[in-house]
Amino acid sequence: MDPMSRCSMILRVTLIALAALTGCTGAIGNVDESTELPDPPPDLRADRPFQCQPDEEEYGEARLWRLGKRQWEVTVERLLGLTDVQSRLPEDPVGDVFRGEEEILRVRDVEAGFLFRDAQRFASSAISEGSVLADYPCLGDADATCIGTFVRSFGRRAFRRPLTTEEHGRYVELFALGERAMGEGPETVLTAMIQSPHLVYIAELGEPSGDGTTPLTSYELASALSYFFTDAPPDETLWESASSGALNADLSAQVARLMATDEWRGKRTRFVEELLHLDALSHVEKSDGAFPEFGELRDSFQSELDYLIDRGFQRGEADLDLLFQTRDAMPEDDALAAFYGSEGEQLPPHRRGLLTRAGFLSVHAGREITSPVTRGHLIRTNILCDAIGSPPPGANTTVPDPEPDQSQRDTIDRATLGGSCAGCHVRMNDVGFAFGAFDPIGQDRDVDDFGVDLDLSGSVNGTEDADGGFVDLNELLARLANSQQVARCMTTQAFRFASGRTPTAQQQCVLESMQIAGGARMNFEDAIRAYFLSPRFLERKVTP
Amino acid sequence: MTTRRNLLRGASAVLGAAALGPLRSQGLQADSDTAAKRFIFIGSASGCVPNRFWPMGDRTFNYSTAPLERHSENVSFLRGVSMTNGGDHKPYVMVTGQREPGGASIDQLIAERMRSSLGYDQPSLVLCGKSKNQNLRGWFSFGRDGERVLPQSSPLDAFSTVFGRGPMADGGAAATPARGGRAALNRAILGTVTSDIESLTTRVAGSSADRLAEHGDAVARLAASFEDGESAPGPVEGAGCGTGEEGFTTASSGYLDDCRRHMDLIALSFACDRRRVANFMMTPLGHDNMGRGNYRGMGYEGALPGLSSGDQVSMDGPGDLHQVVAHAWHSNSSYAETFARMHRAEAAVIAYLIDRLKAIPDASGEGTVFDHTVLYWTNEHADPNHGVNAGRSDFPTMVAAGRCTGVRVGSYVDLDGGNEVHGAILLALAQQVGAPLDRFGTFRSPWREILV
Repeated sequence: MDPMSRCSMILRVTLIALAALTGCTGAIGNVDESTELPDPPPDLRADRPFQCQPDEEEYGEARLWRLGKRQWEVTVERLLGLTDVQSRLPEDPVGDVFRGEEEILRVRDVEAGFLFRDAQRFASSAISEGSVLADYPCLGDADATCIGTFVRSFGRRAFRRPLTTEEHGRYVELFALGERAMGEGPETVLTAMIQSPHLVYIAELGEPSGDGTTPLTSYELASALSYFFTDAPPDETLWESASSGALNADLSAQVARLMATDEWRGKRTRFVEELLHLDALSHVEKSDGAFPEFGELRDSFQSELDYLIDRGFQRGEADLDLLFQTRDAMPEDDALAAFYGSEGEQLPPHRRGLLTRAGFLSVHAGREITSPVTRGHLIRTNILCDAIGSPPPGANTTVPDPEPDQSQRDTIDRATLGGSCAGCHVRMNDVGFAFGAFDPIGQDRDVDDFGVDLDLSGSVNGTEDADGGFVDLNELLARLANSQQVARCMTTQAFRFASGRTPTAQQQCVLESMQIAGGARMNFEDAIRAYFLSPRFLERKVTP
Repeated sequence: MTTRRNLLRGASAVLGAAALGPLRSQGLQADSDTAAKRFIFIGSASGCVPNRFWPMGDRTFNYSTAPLERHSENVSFLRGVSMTNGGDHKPYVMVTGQREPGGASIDQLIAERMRSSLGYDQPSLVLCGKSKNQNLRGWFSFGRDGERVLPQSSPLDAFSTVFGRGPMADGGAAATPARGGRAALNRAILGTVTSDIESLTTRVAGSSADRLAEHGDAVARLAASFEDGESAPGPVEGAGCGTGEEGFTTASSGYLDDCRRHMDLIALSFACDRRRVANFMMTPLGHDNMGRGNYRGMGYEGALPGLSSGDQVSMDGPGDLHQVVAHAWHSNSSYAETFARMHRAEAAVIAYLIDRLKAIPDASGEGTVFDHTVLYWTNEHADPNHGVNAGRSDFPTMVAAGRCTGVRVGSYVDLDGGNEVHGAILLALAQQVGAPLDRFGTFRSPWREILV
């Protein structure tokens, strides 16, 4: 194939991707020279400075947040004394940004069926392995007192709070029914409890205190903290603190303890990985012909990201500088050093922050060519909290052939900056082209995917305080690093990660407290800590 | 009047090893038995590569349809079906029999006709291999007023739609509901779960309340599946009901795996008499906007720029390769080969479905489920180049049918020129599955040459 044919082929594939990504409704290729920059979408207003009006702000709603798949499995393991519990629940889907956000973790037919069968299976295993009944030898005698104790004791651990009298009676009755019907009283109770909503959901309901507030109960607080920081039910220390009623007074210390666990260390890394889609690095594909070295370098790319993120958190430097500024090199990896052309502890000056690392750049590129719009899209949506939708039904994705010697940039702009496509692409394209000096696996290069000289300049528009021109990526990153909109967006993302929700207009106070805690460079971990210490987390409004 | 038929008997019409006569009679006719009949419409996209699709002059299946050769006695290829107004993204013409949007598709009409005789609702099972833009392109199912019927792309979700619950780990045992004490105990367990749900409903509002209600509904449906017996008119489960249900897991190794799960679901739905009509849209064959997915085995491997050789093909980033494959195969042998391989993968999916249907005993006691099934496979285009290059003649068309349907199969029929006969064929097939229609779109007379 001659080079031009190949170029044409690549272009077609690229533009199909662009259209799929960006929601064009017009005929691609019809450039409207008179197109003006549209007004920022209404959603951007959510990124105005947080304006806490304490007298007006509502406390969070009482809510239920379903356990994620692994959280449910770990809970069952701990409850039943089993190891390596693997349910058939679907993997937790990705929400607006993060995996397992509240709105998308549901129990529909599929989940209900799997919960039922898995509960039966694991209850049966627990009985046959004796991992539960060993604590209740008297059950074999069908002694009513013993059954009552079993239900009360196991139920307390399963529901992570004492059972109500009504619940206790219901499960004792179920035990008797199971015993009469099939001689399976214990299995029947276990099967019901581990699929009960009282186990399956993290409850943040609160109890009216009598002084007009509705604080979370200490048991609810313990569960919320434990599942967030460790993806597991409360440990003995937390359970003891909740049971004794000391948790509220002990809250700061308990949060600090949980934030020192290995489980949190892994989970906080997930925050950055999911924010930047870095979790895709393990399975992103590159052309063997164009990038034969990628297979061997992939692990180095991953190690570098892991190292930078983990070290950032350990040093208390997981913040905007981690995203936009750090030039620190991964130690003791010669292959990576050679890849970057770096010597010593610093990367070259054009490699600043995670967004310029090979792992990030590889994820946000195609198999053989880069994907500038994809890179721009990620920055606009996840770093600036800009609202850019998916393509509407019926998007016309027919694309023109490139003209000879046309650059990748000109071709894409020509195809996307006309008609209704412009509304989104005018905000994404330039930002994405600023990354043009990095190829699909993040290597330095001097020409674009079509072999034409690069133009990395452009302008940011449609933001509150980051608008303006830039000559290259460094200028763009500096602009973003100093943007209050970016800082507020990162606060919003920390809130979304911690709460599983998108903040509403009524949650300005908690956001403000998180941003203040995050400081000038927006330290993610400090912001998340602030969320869990906020009165808006600790109290709920009364359900109508 | 249909056409001048050319039954390529002897000279070139024999498919594979099975010697065939003119459209072969299989024995029982539809109107001679009362067993339930089933109908499957399968729609593909972007046409075909003719010299790799149609049976060859040496009386063998061609490359793209070779996976169907093992069912040669049960399939007929009908060449020469044309669509004078069906060239450019108008698949509704194929499935509604009308030249303009607005009519009902054949699967919906047959399901509606069956419903009146069954006495209870049994809608068409509308599935697709992969979601795509919800525009008219590639759409194959329409309601009475021409509204699009949304296909389900997730086999698991579709399973829930059909059975009102998720699939069970123990397959057949679960599909035949637990009886007596076990059923009662299962209901009691789920009743306790329901009580727990109800105890929370007054304590939450908004989206939490909505999700809790959704949870409660799912548990109620699951509990209902453990009922001891059926009293009202409803499905009659066959011996193969539940077979393979345990295979419906959340794991998927890609598009073709999902397609096979859809075929499993069609077979299960028929075996359990939950559905008698299905419509499957094979959307990925060269369609755009397919998005991320694993299309391993679809034929893309190693044939296109931007894809590495080897087995793994995931279309991360670029939407898909519709533009370069479907529209350019005429000018590039590599693309033509890729396109032909993609059709072959689709034919393999259909052959798999027939395998499944043939493996399940029919509830009537007469043969297998397939013996009572008619399958019609067609395409949105004859040629993918949108009306160019004779794109409106020779729409890829295949009929597969069991011996109790009264449909003549086992042949390669060349209509020898363009004939707008698709609606008449579907009228005839509807009649054979016990759903005679007075008319279908602009068609009023069945194409009787397809009948025994």
